[in-house]
Amino acid sequence: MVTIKFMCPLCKKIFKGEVPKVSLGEIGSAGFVHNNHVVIVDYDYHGVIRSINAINMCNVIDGDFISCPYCNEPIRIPNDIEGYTELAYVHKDHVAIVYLFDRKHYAIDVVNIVSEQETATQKENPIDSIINKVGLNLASNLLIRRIIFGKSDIDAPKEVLRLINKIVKELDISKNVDLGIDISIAERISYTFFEKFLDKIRKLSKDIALYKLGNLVKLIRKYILLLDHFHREGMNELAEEFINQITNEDLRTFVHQIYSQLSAGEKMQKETQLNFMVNMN
Amino acid sequence: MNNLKVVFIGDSGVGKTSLIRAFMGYDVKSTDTTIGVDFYSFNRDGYKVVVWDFAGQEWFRDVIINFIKGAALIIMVFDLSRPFTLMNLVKNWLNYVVKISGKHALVIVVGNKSDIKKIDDELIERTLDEMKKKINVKLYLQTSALKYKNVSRLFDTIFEYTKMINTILRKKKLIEVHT
Repeated sequence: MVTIKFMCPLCKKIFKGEVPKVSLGEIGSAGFVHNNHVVIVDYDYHGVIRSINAINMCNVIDGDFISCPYCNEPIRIPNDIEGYTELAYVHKDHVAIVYLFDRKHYAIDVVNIVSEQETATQKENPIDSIINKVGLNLASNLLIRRIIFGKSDIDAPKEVLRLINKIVKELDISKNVDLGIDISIAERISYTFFEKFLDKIRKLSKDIALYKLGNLVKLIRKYILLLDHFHREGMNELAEEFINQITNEDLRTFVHQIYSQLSAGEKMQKETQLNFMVNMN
Repeated sequence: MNNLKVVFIGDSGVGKTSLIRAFMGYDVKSTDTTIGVDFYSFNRDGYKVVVWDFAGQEWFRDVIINFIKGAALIIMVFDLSRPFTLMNLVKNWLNYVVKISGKHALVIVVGNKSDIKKIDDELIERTLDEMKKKINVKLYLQTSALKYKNVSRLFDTIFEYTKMINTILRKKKLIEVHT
């Protein structure tokens, strides 16, 4: 069994559940029954969530009959499917999902139901605590150094360090090693993007804030690694194109500043440790 | 030398990275989820094909989708064992292609995991017909990255199309120079 943690797209709460482990390369599915909807979570061997879909439960009593492919219990397709693309039918230990391509064309999938528990959301949000202690600007600086650049030797008050380490542990960014970036870069870049982001998530519940922060950290670290690769391979045009296609202006500036510093001479190490999947043929 | 951009899009877990890795001769079972976007390049007959492999997860999709801009060829992948991934090609990915790349971008639709196929061909045909009304679908292929079925054919087709596009672009450039 493997534990998965996810945010329901409709309830906006974080849940966790034990699901059967799948083989390497396979994708497993689990159904979680909420009040009026079912959440279908697809996950991989590592328990990494691949997709989350909340589907309304269907209780219609009119419409065409079809049978559940698992238990043969009747499923009714509503006469009026306007506004529906998929419907969920809960049957004892499984849920049948009907994907409505149109009135006559549909596909049925069956997923086992898994019990879950809601994770506590009242816990202190460590991001908010750090900001309260050192202010938004310094909090951004420290978090960029520690969780984006991967520096372990940052200088901060003891209590702030404790909170930052707590974030690192909870983010579970297994590959969060030092990117090898010269720490002085952190002094020469604008934190606008990161400050705005932290300000946005500081009042969210701890789980949701860390979920959002984790995704952003993974993405920015990936951008930096890609740009470093382009830089070392002399693919500057591609790097420029890549940066220009980042839609968020503040994020674009942030990434561009880091790239400019790399181009100015800083080199990164440890690419192999990061198992960075760029392959040149 | 021209760089031709090819993008792989589709829901998470449909096998986009596995198809690329299978073609490159790697073990596909150990493929991890893609963070943001990955990048591969191949040299063929004097031109470079740059393959962008997009994360299918929704959070990343919304952030990185703009990167499909300028793609010469778009590979839309769904999972033949998970019907909603086919539905999402129409519900989500198709709209991004229309919005960012326009109606005329060349598209290949790939149904991967043919070894564990669950979706019937009639439904796929019907969905492809719907897609063809909105985008320029050139080919539909069923593949299995795990069993290496049709993987070479997919990449041969990709290189054929990119070669063709490269030739057209070079001719266009020559005409511009002479006028």
